[in-house]
Amino acid sequence: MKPSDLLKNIGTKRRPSSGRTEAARSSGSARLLPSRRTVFPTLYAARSGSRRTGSLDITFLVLVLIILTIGLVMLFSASYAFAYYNYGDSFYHIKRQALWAVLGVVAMIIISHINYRILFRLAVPLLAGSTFLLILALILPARRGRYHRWIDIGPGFQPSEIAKFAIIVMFAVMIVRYGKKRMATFRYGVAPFMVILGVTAGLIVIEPHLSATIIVIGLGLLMMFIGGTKWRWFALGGAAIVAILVMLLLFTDILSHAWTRLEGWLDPFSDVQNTTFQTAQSLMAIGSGGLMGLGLGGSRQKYLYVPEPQNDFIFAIVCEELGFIGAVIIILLFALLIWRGFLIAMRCNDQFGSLLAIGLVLQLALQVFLNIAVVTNTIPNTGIGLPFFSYGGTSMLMTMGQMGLILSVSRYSSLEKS
Amino acid sequence: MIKKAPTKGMRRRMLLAVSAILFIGFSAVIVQLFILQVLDTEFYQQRASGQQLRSTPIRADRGSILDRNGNVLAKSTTAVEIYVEPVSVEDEEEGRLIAQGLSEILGVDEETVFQKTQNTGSYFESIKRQVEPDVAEQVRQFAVDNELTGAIRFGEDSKRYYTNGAFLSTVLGFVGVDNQGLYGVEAYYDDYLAGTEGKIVSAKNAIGTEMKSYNYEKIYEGEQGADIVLTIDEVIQHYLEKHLETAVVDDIVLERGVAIAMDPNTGEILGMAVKGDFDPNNPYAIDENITLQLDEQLLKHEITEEEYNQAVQDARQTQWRNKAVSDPYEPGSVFKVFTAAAALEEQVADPDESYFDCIGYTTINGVKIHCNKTTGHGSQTFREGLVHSCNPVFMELGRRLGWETWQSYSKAFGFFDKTGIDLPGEAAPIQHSDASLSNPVALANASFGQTFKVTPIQMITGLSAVVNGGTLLEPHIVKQIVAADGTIIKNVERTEVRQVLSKENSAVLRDMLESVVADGENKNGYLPGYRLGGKSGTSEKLDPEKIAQEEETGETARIASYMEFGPVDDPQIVILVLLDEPQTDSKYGSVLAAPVVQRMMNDILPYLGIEPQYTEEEKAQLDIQVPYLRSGSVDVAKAELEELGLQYRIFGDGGTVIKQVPSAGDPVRAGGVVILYTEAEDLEDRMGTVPNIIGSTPKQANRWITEYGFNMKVVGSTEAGMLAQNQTPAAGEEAPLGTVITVEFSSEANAG
Repeated sequence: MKPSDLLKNIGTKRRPSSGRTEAARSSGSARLLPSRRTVFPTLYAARSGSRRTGSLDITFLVLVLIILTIGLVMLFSASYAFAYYNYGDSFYHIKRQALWAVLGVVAMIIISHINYRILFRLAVPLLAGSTFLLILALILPARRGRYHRWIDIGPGFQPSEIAKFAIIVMFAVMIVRYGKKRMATFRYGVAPFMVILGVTAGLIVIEPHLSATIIVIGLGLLMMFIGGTKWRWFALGGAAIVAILVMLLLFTDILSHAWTRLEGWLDPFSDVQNTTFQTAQSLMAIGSGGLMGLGLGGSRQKYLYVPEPQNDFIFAIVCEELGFIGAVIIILLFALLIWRGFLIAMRCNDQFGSLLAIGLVLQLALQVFLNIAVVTNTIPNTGIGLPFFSYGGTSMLMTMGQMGLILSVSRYSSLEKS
Repeated sequence: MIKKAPTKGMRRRMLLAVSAILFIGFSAVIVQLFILQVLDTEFYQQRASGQQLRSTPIRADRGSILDRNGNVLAKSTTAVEIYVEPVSVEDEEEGRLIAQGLSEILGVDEETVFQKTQNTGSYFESIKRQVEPDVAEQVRQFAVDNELTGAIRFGEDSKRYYTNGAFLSTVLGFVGVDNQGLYGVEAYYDDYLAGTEGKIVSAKNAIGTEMKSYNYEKIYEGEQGADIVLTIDEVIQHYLEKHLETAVVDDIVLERGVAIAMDPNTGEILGMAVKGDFDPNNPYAIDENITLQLDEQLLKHEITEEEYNQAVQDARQTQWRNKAVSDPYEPGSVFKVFTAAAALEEQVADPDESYFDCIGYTTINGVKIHCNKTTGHGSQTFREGLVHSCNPVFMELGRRLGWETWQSYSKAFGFFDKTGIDLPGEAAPIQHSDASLSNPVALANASFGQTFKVTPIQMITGLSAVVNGGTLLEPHIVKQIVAADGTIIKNVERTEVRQVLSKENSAVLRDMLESVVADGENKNGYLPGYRLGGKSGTSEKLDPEKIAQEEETGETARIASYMEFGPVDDPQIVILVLLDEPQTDSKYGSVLAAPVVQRMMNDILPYLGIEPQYTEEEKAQLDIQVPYLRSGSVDVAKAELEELGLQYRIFGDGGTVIKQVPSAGDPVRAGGVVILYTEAEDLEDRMGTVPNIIGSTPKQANRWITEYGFNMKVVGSTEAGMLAQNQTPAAGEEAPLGTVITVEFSSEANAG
């Protein structure tokens, strides 16, 4: 089957939009905020018994729940020893994470009932808010001396997480507004995007937070690409970046830090006491797992060898305990989830919804790929959590919320179909 | 709000983006995982195990060394190994503290310990082994006081303990700090004794403690060392050492003494003593006298510190050296036995038919070689020649045999090869080359045991062949090797090397050697009730430095030796004793060494269950056992004593014997005095002064002693020509009347 046939097949599932949704759109646009009926169409549909109920994508939901469950089990196993030694309570992390997961599932369900389209108008305030929070984080006292990544409200959260989301929403809105023709121009298709992306990424990079920067830029560029920005601009930009890197490399020592990272990447056992400690320990965990793994709970590397095994390097423990087979199964589950999310985006007849869904799917895909790539030393080390697995309340809520949004998009498309 | 469907291009690009991440990105990590977990998994497993597993050795218990009757001579006792776990040493400061504390308690080098504590990543750095439990307790206290229990650790270890101290030490050898055998049997059989070290492998977390809820522990059992059963008999060894020690001290033997006892029928070493020796429990300690002398020299600046240390080092090397197997010596006249054997086997002389003439010397190629009796022995038979140890007779025998035949017998008796005894450091003999021996002068000298060197173990092995019916055997000192679980690993069997002498000639030679003991110039080897054969030797040390010394002082460095076996008709034991450089007036083997062997025989033969069989003549000389007289009437006692030919003295007026001296069963000579006390209120010993009887004949001595109211017990022979050499208690001492005074008799008359 040729890719074009696949596209055709996906396309044929669509149906012409109905008048009722058109009405809903027009009524929504009249007010500053959409009516409750517009915000929670499914709820109202269910209550009124009308046919406006949309069914969410059950496959996607089930995949989310399966991965979440596996993630929780693995978090418990991975954090067990670390929690015991550091908090005197082996259940320290799992108790909290489980609570966040429950909240996350609730949030996901609620959000799946919200009409995602309210975001169309919330894009600008969202971006403004995200930018404000990024600046605020820079002003607030740093954690661990030099990292301005967090805002310590409640359990604390990272504004870069919001920035990623804001970029997706904002870019989706811009792409919808500009339309195909204008997206092909530099003035619309490149300049405004680059300004927004530049500011946001700039604020994140000086936090400093390299991995978030990479994801924000990656997401932004992917959105632009999907939105219709011309190839040549990417080529040009790419060339410019290479040129700048070469200049920096040749004339300054700014990149020496990056260079040591690179060396550590090429030989993860070159400096096991220091810079490559984390990677080396991670590789030992993964490698010693072998084909079948040491069995659930059987990790030895989690006994304080892999630093903070419940965070970024949780997948190393997964590999050690479940082996190559288990690791591949989990990766395939992620791939299925991503593919299903992609299908939701493809089937959505609303350009904004489609772009929003694909943006969120891509974010998930990027995070999963980058995390596993770092843990397996496929790419140089940079701190990225694994969605559904790594410990952290805000990231759990954000992830689950985003899954809810994708479900909302799926529900909306199905609503349209019916 | 703008509502429009995504364009076809958008959908295409979405597919492209997602596919790129899934098919390129995800595939890449799966490939990477495949490499890490399937292809290279062993590399990472090893690395991971390397840091996760803690390996601690389980020291194997060293096997025991036992005598032939199962008495323990060397065993392992519990001790402690102290080691540090550098992983648990927090910083340099803590390392310093540990080093300081341990060096203070254990006497180890502080800097070395410190370096070990800084060996980060290691879990086991041994500091000191074989630490006594009480010292280990001090270390434990130090560790507890300074909260260093994680870093300073204790392992099970063992320490070698030699049950009898300085007993059999040159044979047993000793072990080093790691319980490795360094000398003697400990070294020769180290592989069997040592066993195999095991280890405990356990999992631990990154901070070095046990993994919680993850108890991985695997024990690789080592193998306990095997026990070595020696052919040595503890009792025989004891007698060898006792009498040798006395001789070495009394005769001021400078270059140590050797005594070996062998079972001639099996080649088993029953005893092997070297004096001065050392205490294997503390092998580095040297003789006090040497230390004192060196200290004094150092104090007077007669020697430098370097020389001092060298001297200490030399003294150690010397005391550890097993002279019995490592030091060849000139065998002297004892070697005449082998020339005699060759002569009999080659039928160049008949014991009683062939006559030889001795004028006190023989001139060969213009060289005059003297006999021990410079006035000459006159005409004598072959047998008499052996009895007199007449050199001209043996020079003649050598001539008759010719150098090649003589040498072939020397070779056949094993004097050109090592014996192969299972002890380390056996020296090779120093023998004439063919060219050298073909010189008649050399052959003449060699015929009576001079101008070449063999080891004591070679001598006794050859002598065993002579007396056991002519079979040369391989000597051995280990009888059996028994594994820790009791299974027998090895039984050492009698190993025949070759038949050298016919049974008949062996019997003839034994008979001739009995004549040496019975009819020799002195009777120092004679033991009443036993038929023993023997031969003495007095050899000149011909080493260049000894000759130089002789020219300087006029004193010839000599080795006095004596060999004896018995009983003559069925030899059960052969003993060889040699005293290297005695500092006495008379240096003859028959004078110095023979009495030593005789005393050994006196103790050992009864122990071996060989009962004495006295001739009528000997019976007359025998001791009388004092009868039990207490609580009997005085009159009965008198009658009993008179019948036994004993005198008596009675104190008190009672009618019943209340106390007697000597006690019942004590042996006294005929005509001895028994003191009887008859009044319960007056039992205090009457005292007398012990007379001086040194230099008296046995008869004189007995008379003197009984006159003083004492009794005499004889050590050695009381044949004519014997003179009292020693007495206990010494002259002038006060002793209760009736006390038995032990007197040693021996003869100054020499027999070569």
